[in-house]
Amino acid sequence: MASTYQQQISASKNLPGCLIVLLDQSGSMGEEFGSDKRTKAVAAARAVNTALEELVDQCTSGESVRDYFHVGVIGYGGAAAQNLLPGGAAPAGLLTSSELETKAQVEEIEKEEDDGTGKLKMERRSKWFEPAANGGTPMDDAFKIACDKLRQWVAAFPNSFPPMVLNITDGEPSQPEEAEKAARALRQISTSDGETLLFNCHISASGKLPVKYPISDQGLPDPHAKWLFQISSDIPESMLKKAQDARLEVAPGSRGFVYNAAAGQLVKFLRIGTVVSASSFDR
Amino acid sequence: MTEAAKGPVLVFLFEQPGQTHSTLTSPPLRAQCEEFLNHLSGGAASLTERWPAAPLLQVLVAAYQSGSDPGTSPTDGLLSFAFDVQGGNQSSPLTKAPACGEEPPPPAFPNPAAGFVAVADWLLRRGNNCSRVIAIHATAAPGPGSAEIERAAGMLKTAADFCGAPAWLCNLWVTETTGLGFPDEAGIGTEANPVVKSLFRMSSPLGPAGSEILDAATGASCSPAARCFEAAPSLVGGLIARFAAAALKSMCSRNGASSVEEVEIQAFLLPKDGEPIEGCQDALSVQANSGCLAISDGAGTASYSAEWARALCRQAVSRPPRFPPLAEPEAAALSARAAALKVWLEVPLRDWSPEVPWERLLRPVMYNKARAGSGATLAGIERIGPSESGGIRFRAWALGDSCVIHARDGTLLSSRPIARAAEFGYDPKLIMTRPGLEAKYAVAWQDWEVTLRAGDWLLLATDAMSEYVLRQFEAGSGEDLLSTFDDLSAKPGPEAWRAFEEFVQTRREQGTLRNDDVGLAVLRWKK
Repeated sequence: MASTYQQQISASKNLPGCLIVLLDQSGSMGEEFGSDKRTKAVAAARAVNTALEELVDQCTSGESVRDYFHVGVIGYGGAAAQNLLPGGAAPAGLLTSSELETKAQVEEIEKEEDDGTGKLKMERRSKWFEPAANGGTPMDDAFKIACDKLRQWVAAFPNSFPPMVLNITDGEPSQPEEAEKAARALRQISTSDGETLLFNCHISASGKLPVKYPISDQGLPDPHAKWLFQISSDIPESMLKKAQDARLEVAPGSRGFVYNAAAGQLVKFLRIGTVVSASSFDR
Repeated sequence: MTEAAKGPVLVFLFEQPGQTHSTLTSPPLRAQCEEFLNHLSGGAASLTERWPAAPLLQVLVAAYQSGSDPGTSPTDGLLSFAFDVQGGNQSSPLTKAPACGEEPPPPAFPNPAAGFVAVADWLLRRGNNCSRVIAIHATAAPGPGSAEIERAAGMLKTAADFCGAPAWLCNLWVTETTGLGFPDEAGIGTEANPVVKSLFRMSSPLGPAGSEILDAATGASCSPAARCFEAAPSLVGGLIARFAAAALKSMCSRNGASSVEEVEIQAFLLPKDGEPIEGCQDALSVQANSGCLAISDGAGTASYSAEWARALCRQAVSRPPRFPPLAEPEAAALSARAAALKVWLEVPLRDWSPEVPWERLLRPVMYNKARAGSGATLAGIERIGPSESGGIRFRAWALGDSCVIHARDGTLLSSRPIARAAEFGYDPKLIMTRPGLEAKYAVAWQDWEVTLRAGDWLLLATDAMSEYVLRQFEAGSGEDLLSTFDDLSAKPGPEAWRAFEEFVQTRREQGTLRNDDVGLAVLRWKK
């Protein structure tokens, strides 16, 4: 069997990577999360915006942002899933990394730090979408939209590193069977370098110990956790060392799955799609 | 033993109008070339008489015939290299045979790309015997810009960099069109002729040093982003003539002399597959006179890392790092080493900062990334002198994952700072442009001694090639690899580069060599 997940992500050879983030925007995301009284929706939106900013940073060299990645963010809440980013030039309307940079809104926020003149230091942050929390959890719909996009994308880039889908959720899908079917279909979308990678992060304000990148479902606390484990891809061997270098607690056989993640773990989880992926850029 | 001194090199490569480009022949470029050299010599019998402080002012003049069939024989009267060495007679500057007598005149060049490659080879063969290279390419009727010409021009710039002698590659378009002298990108405009754009891209940025020289020569102030490009009807009347004269004058006060054992050095820099050579973030510098060689790998994750890698290499060969040893008590030794590192890094930091075009970094992500600074690995060697056993002692140093690898009789003797192929990671230690990290460098910095015996190999390589080399030794194929390098050393410069490119490409396709920039210096003492 040919080795998989070896393809280098290359802007110059037209072998971009593809990253789609699926973000739960159901009503329960309006609950408080963590010590600073932010809601899960606010914390998750901040984490994803930061990850996108980090991705743009990874693609930036000097005066240009190189198109190493094609990116999409799909939110799911209320009755259906929807694109949270504007349409771009990449297949299926995904944004190239250089487009992503131009679409950012830059906001200045005060940091609780003196700038040396007695004023608070200002920090510039990029933002692409606002937090939302509303209604049910149409995760199945998000998987289906992602499937449509990825089928178009792999047709255009059949030899690229396989797409990565990072799903962030705080609860069970409204249609579990449909969601499972769509997740399996999603994972079967392939390039010559392997199948789509679906990694899941379950966030929780429970304060329970998180389960990070397990190698089996033994010890997972409930059927929902086991379900998320089952639909998650193994972290490919080629990414393990890079993930370890990025300080993710992964081991051979680990699945791309975190359960009961607090805000810090969510930020780290998203680094799979930014820093870890970027370590295979041909730069 | 080779006695040599450092001075500037002036390279003049011009188009000899051929059958297809014979319209602009009054005055012909050859006559302009002679007039230009006379202008530089200011009526003196030789350039060194005019610029007596130059210990070794070397002038290379070459011509190519644009439009000729590359397969045809050289045209009668086509010029080849001429050298004006110290004290040389300049009475017949354009037809003088090579004074050093080491090599035959090169063949006539069918196009500028071949000329650039030949000059690059000439520079590489001499190592660091010059302080600065001013290369002027003059053309009356430039053909369409091609990737081949730009690539060759990039090779010339890289070769000059390798020699620790930054190049100003100036392009002159001899044309009736006037008013284009040392423009910046805005001066060229988006609607410009593609040929003009191509020549502009090939031309080196003046940089702070060049701007200072040009400002002094013209009395005007040029754009900080200006490039060495000019469209003018006459070479002598143009800015380039004034720039070259002023630059030579400013450089002629610098000199130095030393000697080196006859160690054969070959060096290669290749970008990642699909990238131009300008995109290569590895750097190499050699100071053959003192037996110093440095290699650096600019971090791809940061902006302006290639510039930082080059600045570090230049500093490493012109002022080899000699830091206090790690003696007891360790804390005091580390502190002394950190202080020495801080002082040593001041020069490359001063060189790097002006290379960042801050005024053009208007988008937050670009500005913030540049502000975050650059990083690069560094490894190098410096000749200490003969060993008691008849070998040559080198001091080696490294920080990061660029390696110094010592082999003898097909066997790996040592590799530092990484000893095994499996130890390469994705997060190497780096020397950053960000201040205040000297204490960390003091801990990570390694220096050691290597004694080279006749027949030994010393390889300096950035991470991808180091990993490949170590894996070959671990698989018992080290001897075959060294034999390949031996074959490369038997080839003349341009052929060796092509053969090395093939060597790298094949291994990339096989998946045995990561598609990363490749920097490699091969030292062999053939007694």
